[in-house]
Amino acid sequence: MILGFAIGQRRSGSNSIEVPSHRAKLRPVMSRFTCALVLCSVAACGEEGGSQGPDAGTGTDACVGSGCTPAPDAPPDGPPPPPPWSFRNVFGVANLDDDDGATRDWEQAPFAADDDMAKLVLPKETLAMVTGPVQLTLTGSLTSIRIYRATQLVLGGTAGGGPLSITPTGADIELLIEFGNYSVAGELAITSGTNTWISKLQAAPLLMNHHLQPAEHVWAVRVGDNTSFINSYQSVLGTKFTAVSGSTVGSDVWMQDEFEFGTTTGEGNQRLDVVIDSIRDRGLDGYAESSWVGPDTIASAWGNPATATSYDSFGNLEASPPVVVNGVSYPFGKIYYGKVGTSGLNSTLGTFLASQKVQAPFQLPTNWLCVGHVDEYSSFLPDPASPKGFKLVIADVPAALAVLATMSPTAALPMYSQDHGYATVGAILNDAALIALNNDLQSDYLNPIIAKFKTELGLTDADIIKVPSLFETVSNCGGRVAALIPGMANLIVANVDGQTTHVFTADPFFRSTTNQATDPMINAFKAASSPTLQWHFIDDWNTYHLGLGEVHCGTNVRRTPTASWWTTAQHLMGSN
Amino acid sequence: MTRHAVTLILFLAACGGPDDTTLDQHSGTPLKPAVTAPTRQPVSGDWRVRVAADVADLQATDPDLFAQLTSVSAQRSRAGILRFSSTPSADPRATSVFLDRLVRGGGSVAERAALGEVLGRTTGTYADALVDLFASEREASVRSAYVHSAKRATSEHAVTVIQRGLGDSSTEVQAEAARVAAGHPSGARLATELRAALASSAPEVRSEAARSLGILGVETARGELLARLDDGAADVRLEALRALDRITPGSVDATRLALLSRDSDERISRLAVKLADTAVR
Repeated sequence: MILGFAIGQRRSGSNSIEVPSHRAKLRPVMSRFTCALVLCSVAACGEEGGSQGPDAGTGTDACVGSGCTPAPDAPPDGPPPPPPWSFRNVFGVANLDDDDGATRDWEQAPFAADDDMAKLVLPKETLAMVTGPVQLTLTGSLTSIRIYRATQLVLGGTAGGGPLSITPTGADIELLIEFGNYSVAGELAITSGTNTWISKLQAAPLLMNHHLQPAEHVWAVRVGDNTSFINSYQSVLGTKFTAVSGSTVGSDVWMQDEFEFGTTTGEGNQRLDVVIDSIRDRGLDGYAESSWVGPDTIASAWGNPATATSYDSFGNLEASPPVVVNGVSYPFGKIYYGKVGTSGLNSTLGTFLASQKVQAPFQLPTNWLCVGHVDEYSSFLPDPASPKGFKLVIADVPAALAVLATMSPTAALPMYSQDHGYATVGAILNDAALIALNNDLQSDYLNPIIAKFKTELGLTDADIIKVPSLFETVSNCGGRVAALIPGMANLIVANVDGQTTHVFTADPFFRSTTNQATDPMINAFKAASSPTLQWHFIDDWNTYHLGLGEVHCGTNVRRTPTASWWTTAQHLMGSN
Repeated sequence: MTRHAVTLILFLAACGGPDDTTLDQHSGTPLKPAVTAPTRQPVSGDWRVRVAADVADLQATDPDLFAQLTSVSAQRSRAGILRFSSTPSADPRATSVFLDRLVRGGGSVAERAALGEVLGRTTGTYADALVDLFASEREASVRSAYVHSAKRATSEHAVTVIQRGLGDSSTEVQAEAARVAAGHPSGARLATELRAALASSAPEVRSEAARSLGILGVETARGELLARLDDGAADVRLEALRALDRITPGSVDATRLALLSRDSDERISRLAVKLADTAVR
């Protein structure tokens, strides 16, 4: 009863949650975006949004705390006033980083430089309502939530759940809340006399990034023969791009496969980036620790490296943009990865990702591919004119055959002659085994994959761009296939300046000269995509394409979180 | 003209080459530079003699390329298998350098397999060498790579390699050979071996054989393929059904299709439904 009444009461005013302000973690763009999203969400969701989740509407407070202006179309009379005895809920990040360069912060007592503790203030004005002591009782994940007064542990952890009795002195009571893991939750009962309020304490889920989020920085590995590839990124992105020296990472160019960037965020612009570190552990293993890990960034791995397969590389782990499926909003999109039966991403990581709930993972078949990654056939492109704001990009055999049908059979394909054995368009079309293989792949796998995407993401045909694609079998890969035409679905979206959305993908070289304007595969892809995109069809032939990967496989991107899970995703988090 | 020279010419003709490039003068420069074939006539006779002559000639006339070809190493592909991730030199003598590296031995099994694979991406003659290399190779993955490369060669030697692959002791090699047969210009000549492969104890061999028989249109295999519709392995049932329809569209009876439309494997049930629908129309 008490829970039902007390939690989720809308609250505005002076009881704002705070974190130490010496280091604001979110970039300005994030704050603006978050505020815009929250305001939009509150305005658009109306009654449903206001009553759905236990903490719906608290993001408005976060907006006020961040200094943004209220929405002009906010309800004139605003939310109902809070009951007199009420306090804030707390939404923070797990304190898993190392802010002082000593040891992981969760392993230490609070210290000044630790910016991952949340603050809950019991204002003196509210406390003045009562005359006796205030009892604090913590329930929930007691081992993963700690509450401090100054540096003294008072609840949670070894201090237990209480009750803790505090006699007000006429000043605010300040509590520091620390979370020890993702998504952990608890409840803090604040009682005095007959007054009881329950504040919800919740740690952020780990959320994977998607292609619509602004890009902060892009990485690729420079080796001997990918100069054109590296230069393409360098010339477009400038200081937002880093070419990692191949000699320092064992010439492991598969930057996408070793890492997946995720974020956790909390109120007050808290942000902890989490580099999900693959158990594949090839040359790039260790790069995250040496180059990224530090204050506000950690690297963690899930699974046993001894059991790693190609499916455990993170070209096989992606997230869609925000979607609404059967009326349910997924404001951070949905995670998808390749797995059929027991063949796929390791279950330790899969189980963990599912436990975060907000991005509701689903599985797709990748066991027909030599490499076995979802990024070999799918991705997403922004499309501002589209109702959903994006399009699913998916490899498609009929689209390729349609392009081939428009070409002269004698049209030369010099790039394909030696490496793939097809000197002309006619040579491809005359290879009955190749055409049969590709038609069968479309029937057996790609069509069902499209259907699965439609179901899981609530898409229609209008939301899908079919990218001309052909596959071929590869030596020593058990009949599984890799891209014959460099996989253009394997792309990178990078909006680094807030204005231009750059798209980097493989030059298919489906022509006889260097002039990309004459390439029918490029033209087909561009014609199906938003005209707002700035395209870069880059040369990944050697190093990547012949190494059974493409542009996305060789790149990684750090992105800015763009929404507040505590305001937009509570309905997905269940009873955490 | 020697048989090797004929092979080389046929191979180059089949692969096409930079001279085939139709260049629109207004559309940019050609994507690949023209290949200058060595003026020296290919050496006839045993392939080892040819390889030795090519290697010596390249070393003398283009030492930089020779050094590059002898030192270039395969990289771990995204899938983890070793692969040469750059286009090999278009100089046909590069083929001989790679063959020479294989003959000299050394390197890991994965490196030998990568060398075997890259042969198919060179422009010189190698199929005759593959016959001997295949026979002396102990590792299945390397033999499998040889079979894979045989797909790109049109000579009788290539057919021999694929044929021996079908009779190999390793099911991995058998499956690769069955797969390659479908895409080889002379694949239909291996119909007998492919039909025999339908009785293999390895499901991957049965499914690849069924698939190839369908693509090659081997009418005489219909009976065996019909029997494979009851195979315990889903991949075999799928490829047998597909093969039967490819050989004679509409030839699988409605009763059988109705049964297969309830197959636990969705690929098979979908295909059966599609074929039944097609038959009705």
